[in-house]
This record gives sequence, structure tokens and C-alpha cells, in this order.
Amino acid sequence: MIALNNITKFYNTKPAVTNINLEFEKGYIYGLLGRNGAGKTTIINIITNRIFATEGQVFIDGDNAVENDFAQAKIFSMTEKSSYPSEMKVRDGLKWVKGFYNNFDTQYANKLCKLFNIDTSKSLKALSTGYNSIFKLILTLASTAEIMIFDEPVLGLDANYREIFYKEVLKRFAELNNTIIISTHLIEEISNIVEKIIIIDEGKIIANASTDEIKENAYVVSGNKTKVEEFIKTRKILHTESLGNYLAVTINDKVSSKDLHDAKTLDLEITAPKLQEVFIKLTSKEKLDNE
Amino acid sequence: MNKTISKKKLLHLTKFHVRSTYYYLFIITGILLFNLLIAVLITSLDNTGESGSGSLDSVTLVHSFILGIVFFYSTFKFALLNGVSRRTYYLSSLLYLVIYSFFFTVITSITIVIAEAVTNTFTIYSLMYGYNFISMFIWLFLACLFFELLGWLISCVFYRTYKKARLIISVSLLLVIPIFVFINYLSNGAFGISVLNFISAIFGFNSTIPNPFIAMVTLLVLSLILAGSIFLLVRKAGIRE
Repeated sequence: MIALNNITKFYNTKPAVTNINLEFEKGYIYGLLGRNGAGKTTIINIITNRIFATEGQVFIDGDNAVENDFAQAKIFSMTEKSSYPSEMKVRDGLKWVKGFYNNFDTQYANKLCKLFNIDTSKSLKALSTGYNSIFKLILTLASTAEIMIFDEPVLGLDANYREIFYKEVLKRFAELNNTIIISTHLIEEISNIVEKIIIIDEGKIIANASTDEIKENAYVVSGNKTKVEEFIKTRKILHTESLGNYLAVTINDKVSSKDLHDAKTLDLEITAPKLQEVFIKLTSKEKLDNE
Repeated sequence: MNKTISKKKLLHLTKFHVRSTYYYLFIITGILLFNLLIAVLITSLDNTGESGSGSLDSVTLVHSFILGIVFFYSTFKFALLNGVSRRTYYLSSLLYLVIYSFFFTVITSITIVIAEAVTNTFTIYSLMYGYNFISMFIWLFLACLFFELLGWLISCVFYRTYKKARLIISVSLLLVIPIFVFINYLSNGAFGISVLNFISAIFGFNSTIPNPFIAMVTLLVLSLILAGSIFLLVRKAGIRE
């Protein structure tokens, strides 16, 4: 559905993203992950025609996405920064955006306004950071766009509203079977929602696979501290957590039959790692250098 | 070549432009009526019959320039956020400025007609070309458009450049007058006379009776040059957050 071919973007002489080749397919929820300044927002801005790539092309359903009103009408992307006119009232924002998106669902938008308890008579400048995020979330979810992009969607939202948001994303996805891209730092929160993960580091794609495939690159062994220490002697450690006589260690490797056998012998448990731990492993400069 | 400009988006964005700055029409109307009221008061208090109002059209031209400067920042971002291409944004903005130039001209012309009926009045146009309602209307419309485009161009230049470049541009503009004076001094005044002759010619003052139609053509050509320059700046502009 979205295809990025050899995308490179320079800011002056500094490369923001280099030679990116990516495809976002219809019917998946993607997690676009990366450290600060990794190039996530640059990729989103290039897809949405907000900035131009220095090299490369972007296609949406086979059509060139650059300066194309019709291709861009298939995407609604909320940004981390608030770029809507600050004097604009929430209800006016809903009205004006509806004019750009043929299938904008006003009824659903109003329902979300009530659900998130947002005062539609307020201007955007009077809203808190959290409510500004909510305003943009409502626009995106109600747009019914074929491609919905959320860039740091839960900025300033409390746990309750974050929960509501994730539920609404899943509901919307079930109804529309569209493409959803979520770019966030809160990796564990989206780990149960996203089906595919794209990890960007220093402007390059370093992982592009399903959540399960990404997690396969590591595993957690836990149990009695002495036994776990015995188990990890010859293995590459990624992360350690201990509590009293209990120790849980994330191992930086795929789990092998030997690992399973050793763990069973020592009466240890092997489980899947947290997505965040794998992410840290993949993007940590120190760890890569040590390897 | 595939169609890439959506007429629906273009018209909706134009409507957004018009609605988001409609208060400018009230501001201009308010200022013009206030000036008119003061002129009427002064005329009624002054028995000599020599006092009156002047330069009502200058109020409109100044506000046209301000409108050109202020509308761009917020509407450009809003357009890009809603999947509108730069070309569509550019065409929509041109349409919007033409509409506003027309509104400004109508409001100002009506005020001038009323002012002429109730008090002594003069306008920039009448001082330069004498009085003819239709040619004044066309001249004012083109002058409004020119000043709006000039404001938009300045806004675009500042949007596309960074702090250092802005400083260089600002300083360069400040240096224009001293450089002009210096060259004029070196040429014993010939340079200044040539420039003034050129300006006089393009604004229709070279003949014994000033010709407003030459000024109209000049304003139209200058507006087209400005519009072309703006297009070059807008077509590659990115969102700046």
C-alpha cells in the first residue's frame, strides 16, 4: 500500500535517513520504533508530503505520493507537534478537517469527544498537552483514512485515556481493516497491539519483521539465582533483573534446543523477552560496540 | 500525466482561508468608517470648508500588506496537515487573495463615495490621476492584490530561510537606501533622476495627463512577477514545526 523506494533525506549535509526501502501493507498495525532523532518523524513527513526526500520515491497504491492530493487523501497523520491554528476551536477543527476527508465520521468523532471528555467549545490554545493529543487522535480515528499514522499519540495522556485510545485503535482497525502506523517511545504499551515492527536507528532500518520474529532474537531465563547464574555463564547477557533469590536474565540469542535442555535440567523457566529489551539491544550503541 | 490537484480540496481550503481571516474585513470597515466619522465631525465643526478626510485608500493598502504577511504561516501548515499539495495550496491562496482584494476594494470604494458626498476628501489615486470611479476601482483592486502578494512573498522568504539568512536579507534591505544615495552621489544625481523617470514612466506620469491604465498594467505585471516568485518558494517548502 505504501512503498518507500531508496529514500534518503539530508538536512543540510547531515543525513536524517539513508536509503530506506520499506513497504507498509494493508491490514496491519505497524510499530515504527527508534530512539530520539533516529528518523521516524522524517519518514512520516516524507510519506505525508510534508517534506521532500532528497532522493527516492514514495508510492501510495502505486501512485506517486509527492504533491498528489488524491494519494494524500488516503492518509491521515497526526503529528507530535501541534500545527493547527491555535485560535481554532475543537468543533471547528472537526468541521474543517471533514471537508478534506470524504468519509470523515462526524458521529464517531462526537462520540470520542464525549468518551475523552473534551470540551469542543474550547480553542486549541486553551487545551492542555494531553487534550491537544486527544484532539488529534480524534481527528485521525474519525478520518476513516485507509492509512492512519500516529506520531507519539499518547503524549500527555493519563493511563486511563491511553487505555481508551488503544482500545479505540483496535476497534477502528477491526472495522476498517486499514493500515495503522504507530510511532512511539512507549514500546511496551504498543507491544500487544502492533503486528509488525520497524526499528530505525541513525536513519537506517535495522529491523523489519513481525513482533514475534523480533522477539525470537532473545529470550528470558528465570528462576533460582544460583541456577540462573550457572546457566548464563557461557551466554550473552542483555538484561538482568533480580529480586532476593530470584533472577531473570534476558539472553541475546535465539533459543536453541540446548538452551531448552539446559534450562529444564536446572529447573529454570524460559519465556519471551519484553519488546523494549530487544529494542534496547538493537539500538544501544554501547552494546553493539561491545559485540 | 495523472491528475494531482483536487478541486474539492482547493475550494474547501479557499473557504477556510476566507473564513479564518474574515475579521480583517470588519477591521478595515471599522477603520474606514471611523476616519469618515472624524472627517464629518471636523467638517461640521469647521466653518471654513477647507478641512476634510484624506487617503482612505492608503488604509486599505496597508492592511492588504499586513494580510499578505499574516495569512501564510498557519494556513500553509494546516493545508499540509490535511493532505493538500503545495500546488493546490498556492492556487487556493491566489484565489483567496483575489477575493479579498475585491472585498477590500468594494468596501473602500463605497466609503470613498460616501466621503465625497458628505465631506471634502481625497485619495492617493485622486491625487495622482484625478477622479474616475471605475479606473479608481480597478487601480485599487490591483494595488490591493500587489500589496497582498508583496506581504506573502516576504512571509515566504522568511519561512524558507533560517536565522542567518533572515539577518542578511534584513540588513541588505536596510542598505538599499544608503547604497542608492551613494550611487546617486557618484553619478551627480543622474542615477536618481533615471530611477525616478523610470518609476514615473511605469506609473503613467510621463505624459502631460497622468495615465492610470499604464499604472494598472504595471501593477498587474508586478503582481505576476511576485506570484511567480512565491510559487518558486512555496513549491519546495516543507513543514516547519
